[in-house]
Amino acid sequence: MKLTTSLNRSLWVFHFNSGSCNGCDIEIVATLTPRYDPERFGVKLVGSPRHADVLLVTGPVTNQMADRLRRVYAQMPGPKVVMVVGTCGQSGGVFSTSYNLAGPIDQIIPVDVYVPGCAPRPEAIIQGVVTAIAKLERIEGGAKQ
Amino acid sequence: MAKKAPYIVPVGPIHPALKEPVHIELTVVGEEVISADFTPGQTHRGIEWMGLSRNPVQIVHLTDRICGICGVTHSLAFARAVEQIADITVPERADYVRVIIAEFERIQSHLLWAGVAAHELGFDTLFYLAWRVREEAMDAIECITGNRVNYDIIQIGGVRRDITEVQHAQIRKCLDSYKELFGKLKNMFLEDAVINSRCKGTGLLSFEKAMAYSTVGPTARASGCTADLRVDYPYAAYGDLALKPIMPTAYGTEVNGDTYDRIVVRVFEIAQSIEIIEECLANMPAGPVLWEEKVAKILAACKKAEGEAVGRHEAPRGECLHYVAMDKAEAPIAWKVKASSYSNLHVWPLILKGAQLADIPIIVASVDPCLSCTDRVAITDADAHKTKIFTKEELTRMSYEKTRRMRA
Amino acid sequence: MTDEILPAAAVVERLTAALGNAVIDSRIQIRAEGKEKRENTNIWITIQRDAVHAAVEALMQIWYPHLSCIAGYDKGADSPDLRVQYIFSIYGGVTASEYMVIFSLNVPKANARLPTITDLLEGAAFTEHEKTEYLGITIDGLAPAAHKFFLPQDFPDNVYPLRKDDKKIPDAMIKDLWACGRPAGRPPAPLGGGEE
Repeated sequence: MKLTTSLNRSLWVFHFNSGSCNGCDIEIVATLTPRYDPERFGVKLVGSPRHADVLLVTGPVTNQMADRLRRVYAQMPGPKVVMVVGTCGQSGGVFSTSYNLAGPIDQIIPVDVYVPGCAPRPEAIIQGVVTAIAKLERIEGGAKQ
Repeated sequence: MAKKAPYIVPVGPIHPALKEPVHIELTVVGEEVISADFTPGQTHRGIEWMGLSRNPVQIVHLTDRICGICGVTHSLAFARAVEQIADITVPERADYVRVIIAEFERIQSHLLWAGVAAHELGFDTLFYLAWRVREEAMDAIECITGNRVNYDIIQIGGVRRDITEVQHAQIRKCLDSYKELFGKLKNMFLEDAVINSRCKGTGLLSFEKAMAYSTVGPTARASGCTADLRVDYPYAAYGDLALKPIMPTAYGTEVNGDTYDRIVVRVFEIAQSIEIIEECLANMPAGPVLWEEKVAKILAACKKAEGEAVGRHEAPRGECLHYVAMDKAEAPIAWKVKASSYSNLHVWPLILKGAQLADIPIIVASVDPCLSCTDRVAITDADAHKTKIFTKEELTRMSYEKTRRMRA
Repeated sequence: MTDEILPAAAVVERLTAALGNAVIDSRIQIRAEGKEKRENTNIWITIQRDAVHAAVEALMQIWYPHLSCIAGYDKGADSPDLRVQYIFSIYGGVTASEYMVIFSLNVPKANARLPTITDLLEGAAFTEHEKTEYLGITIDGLAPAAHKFFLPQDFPDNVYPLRKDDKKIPDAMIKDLWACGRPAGRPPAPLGGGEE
């Protein structure tokens, strides 16, 4: 991984809540605070998916959000990496069966990195972001998306 | 008022930098809001429906994840309702542990909100500071429960973990650091000139309307309603403590019902929570922390239970109420969750009336909404009959510009 | 509205006197927690459906009530009734004196209507709309909402999530998230325990 020797890009992250309890979203915001400081990796939160490299998604996708999630994903320019934070985005977690949930996130958009936990610690989220950086570098180096 | 349906960006509500979602429609003349309408419900997961096919012990794990910020609130209210139906007496030590966890949750929730409110006004430094200070409380919570969010510590009939002497040291360290910091936090939030000028006189909610709309929590107390469940309706260990509801008069100001008063109430509630935790640690009785250790026996007791009950808890945002009805079956036959924000959200049309566009972010946040609902804000210029969609980013930018104008 | 705090039995007496035959039964539930076992009181009153408005008026004569919410459930797939609870509390704001007053009533499914209480308490509109969306109860006197508040806007009509009879959620709408396996067509995961 090229992270420590040279960093070609700083990662811009767009966060999308598809109906979660906000626990993972709080942990994501807590990750940005001075204690964990992912800005030393160049990670920054942006306000538009068109500027982002990494899409951070939380929550089991509610029916209203499924279409919006697809559109946000389509708006991101490649190369892009999707990171799922939290157990309910991976398998539904506690929300195992419902009438208003469109399924785990990988049923809606392709996912590259999974960070399990309910809610995952900020350290785990940082490790997820670092894994996403490594994957992006592999993609830029010519690997398949 | 036409509602356009262009591309909508839904994102979590809590942090504005992530684009807070709430579907609000406002009718505007010039810069002033005439009326507002809102649509929550974007994160409708069907939790009450899920609960009707699970047993109470499973539901407690589900209630922890109704909302990530008010972690123990829903579990505590639900467990209290089931304990009333099944006639389970909670051991006294468990009552004290429940209160300690609930007060820690209140501290971290108010600090979270304080940071968010500062961010809405353009004070990013204060936002990062408040969240950095919040990390001490998260460490203490992790020491007690094992997780920073979603504590999973409530069980029907008590709590799953005890607070041992070893953990007392960590808790005291956190409380001492907060006591030192409290004076500084109070000055930064309450004596800052810009926060004063931006928040005083905006988002007014009168006492009559607060009562008519049955608002709860700091939002109601800031408007003059002295209701606080911990004081009026003693439950868990709150009956053993001498508490008074925190009103804006705690800072020596009159009760106006504006955004500034809500900040005052929340800041002083942090100090009150610190005192409560210290008192509970000192007076905690010895004994078991669970009515029954074996989960199978708890379930057996629930299966024999019949009746209905209401469990309430004073969450950081207000009264959280769970209505449960059971009928000798494994799953309850009825379950109603009333989150605290349920009672506060419907005052948005009232307090947004007469507000300026640039003040919308702070007024909306002052009620401390805890819902994952989202949309951008659609604003209609009533004179021009045009609808323009403002993104949260633009509204926040307008809010920052107003701060700069007022400081100049 | 009186200013004194009445004991629970007196509150029940006043309400029963005001409502007469509409009161089907009542009970007082006391719960005491903590070391000092301070008590809190819940008053449960079952009334006829048509007396709901009068009941709220009678309660307002005693103290300005706080409406927590209106709860409701379907008594069963083969039951002809829904059961609705109006959950109020009085004497809030006075130390250690708050009572919960809960009016329970049966609403027949064949005629699922309730009178509105927004003329007495403005804030009840929100929770009354919720009953319309979740249980299919029409509220007389309340203007229908311009849009759904709690459910998605394109939720099918005539399906109510909390019903257990033929209007409940159909099986076709239910999704098992845990049963979705790994999606096909994704590159295999890197071996060796993840990234270095």
